[in-house]
Amino acid sequence: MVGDEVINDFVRNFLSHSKDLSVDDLVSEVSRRYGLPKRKAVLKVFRMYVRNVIDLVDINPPVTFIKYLLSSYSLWYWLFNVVVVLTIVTVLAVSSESPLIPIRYVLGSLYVLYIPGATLIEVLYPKHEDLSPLERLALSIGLSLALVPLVGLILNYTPWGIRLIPVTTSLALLSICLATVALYRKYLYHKLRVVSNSG
Amino acid sequence: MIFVMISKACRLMVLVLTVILLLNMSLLSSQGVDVIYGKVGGVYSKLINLKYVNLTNVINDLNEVLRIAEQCGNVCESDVFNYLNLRLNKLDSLINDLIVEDAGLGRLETLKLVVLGVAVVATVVLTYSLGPYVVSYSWYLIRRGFRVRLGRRSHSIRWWFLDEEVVAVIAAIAVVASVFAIATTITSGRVVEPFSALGLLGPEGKIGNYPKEVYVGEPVKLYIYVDNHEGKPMYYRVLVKVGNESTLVNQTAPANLPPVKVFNLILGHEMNSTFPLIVKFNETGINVKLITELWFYNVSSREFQYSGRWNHLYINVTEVGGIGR
Repeated sequence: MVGDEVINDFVRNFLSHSKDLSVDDLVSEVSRRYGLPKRKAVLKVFRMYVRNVIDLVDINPPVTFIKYLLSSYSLWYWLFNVVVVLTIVTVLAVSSESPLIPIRYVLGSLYVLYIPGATLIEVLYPKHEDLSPLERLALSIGLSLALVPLVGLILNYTPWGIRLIPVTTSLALLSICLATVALYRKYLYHKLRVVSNSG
Repeated sequence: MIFVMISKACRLMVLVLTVILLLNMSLLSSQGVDVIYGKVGGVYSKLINLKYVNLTNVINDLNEVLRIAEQCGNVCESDVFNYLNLRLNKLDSLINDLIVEDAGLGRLETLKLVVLGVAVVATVVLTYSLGPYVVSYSWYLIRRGFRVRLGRRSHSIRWWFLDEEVVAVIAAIAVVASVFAIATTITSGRVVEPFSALGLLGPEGKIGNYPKEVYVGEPVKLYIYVDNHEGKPMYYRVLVKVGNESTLVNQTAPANLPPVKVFNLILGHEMNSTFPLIVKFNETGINVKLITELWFYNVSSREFQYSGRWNHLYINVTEVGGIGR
C-alpha cells in the first residue's frame, strides 16, 4: 500500500503544474498512477483535504442566503435538525420498557450535554480555524452544562414548569435558533471569501 | 340360647358398623382447611422459581382459591374441599407446563444477549473498517465538481471530529459509558433492597380517621394494605390479634396470642392489595391493642414465618352508653 506522504508529494507537484483540476480528475489521476481502486483513491484525496494538503474552490458558489441554505455548505445544519427531531421523537415515543431505550439514552445525552453548547460555539466561532477541535469539543460540553440549567431556571418561572415536554421543546428551540444564527454567520464569512476570491 | 346369643352378636355388629359408617361419613363431610393452605404452599413453591413467564393469571387463581378457603373457617365442606383440591391440581399441572415454557424463554433471553453482543461487536468492526470509505465517498459525491488547489499547510484538521485528540476523548467517554451500560444490563431486574410492607388504614381506606373508642360488639371497619417489593411472588398471611397494653410485639417476635382473623394472599413482585378488616370486640377495655402481623411462607421449612412487619392500633372499648360516647 502506497504511503500517504508519497501521494501527497505527487499531488503537490501535480497541482503546481496543472490548473483547473476538479476533484473527480484528481481522484482518477491518483487511481490511475498508483493502481488503486476508486474508493481507496477517494479516501486518499479526502485525507489530503482534511489535512489541508489540498483546498477546494467552488466554481459556482451560492451568493444568496437561501441558496446557501439549500447548498451542500448547510449540510451540517440539516443533519443537526434531523438529530434534534429524531431526539424529540425518541424521547416522546420510546418508553423505558422498549428495546430501543439505548438509542434514547444516547440521543438524549447528546441533546442535553453537547448540542446546545456546540451550537453556541458555532455562533461565537463560525470559522473552523478559530478554535482547535479539542477546544471546540470541550467548550461545547462546558457551555451545554451552563446553558441547560439556565433554560431550566427560566422554565421554572413559566406556567409550563420543568417537565419533559417543556424542557425538550425549549432545548430544541434554543438549539435550532442558535444553529440558524451560526448558519447565517458562516454564510457571511462564505460571502466574504467569495468576494475576495473573485476580486 | 345359641340363637339368642347369635342374634345379640349380629345386632352388636350392626351397631358397630353403623357407628363406623357414621364416623366415616362425618369425616368425609368436612376437611381441614389447612390441607388447602398447605397445597397452595406447594404450588407456590414451584412458581417462585419462574422468572420469564407471566404469572398474573396463576396468582389470581390461587388468590381465588384462598378466598374460598377462608370462607370455610377451620373446616371445609366436602364438595368445597373437592372443588378447591381439583382447582389446585389443575394449577399444579399448569405450573409444570409453565416451568417448561420458562426454561425456553430463559434460553431465548440468553440468545438475545448473545446476538446483541455480536451485533455490537460487528457494528464496531464494520464502522472502523468501512466508516472512512463511507464518509470519504459521501464527501466525494458532494464535492466532485469543485476545483482543487494547493492547501495552506495548516496543522489543524479541517473536520474537527476527525482530529485524533477529539477521537481519543470520544473513545474514552464511550468506554466509560459502556461500563455503566453493561453494569445496568447485568443488574436490571434485580431488587437492590427487597422489602414487604404492611399498612393499617382507616375506615375510608386511607391513613387517618382511626377509631379511638368503640362499643362492645360494634363492628369496626378498617383496611389492611400489603405491598410486595421482594423481587419474587410472596405467599403472605396476615394475622389479626387482640391484646392489651402489656402485649409485646416487635420486629423479632410476634404477639403471643391466638389470631382472631387470618387472611392469606399471594402477591407478585410490585403488586399490592388492600382489603377490609371487620372486627368486633367482645370485652370492654382501655387501650385494647388491635395487632396485625405479616407472615410469609418459607419454602424451605414449608411453614409460615414472621416477617417482622406489624401494626397496632389502641382502641378504648366501652359498654353501650358508656362514658365519653
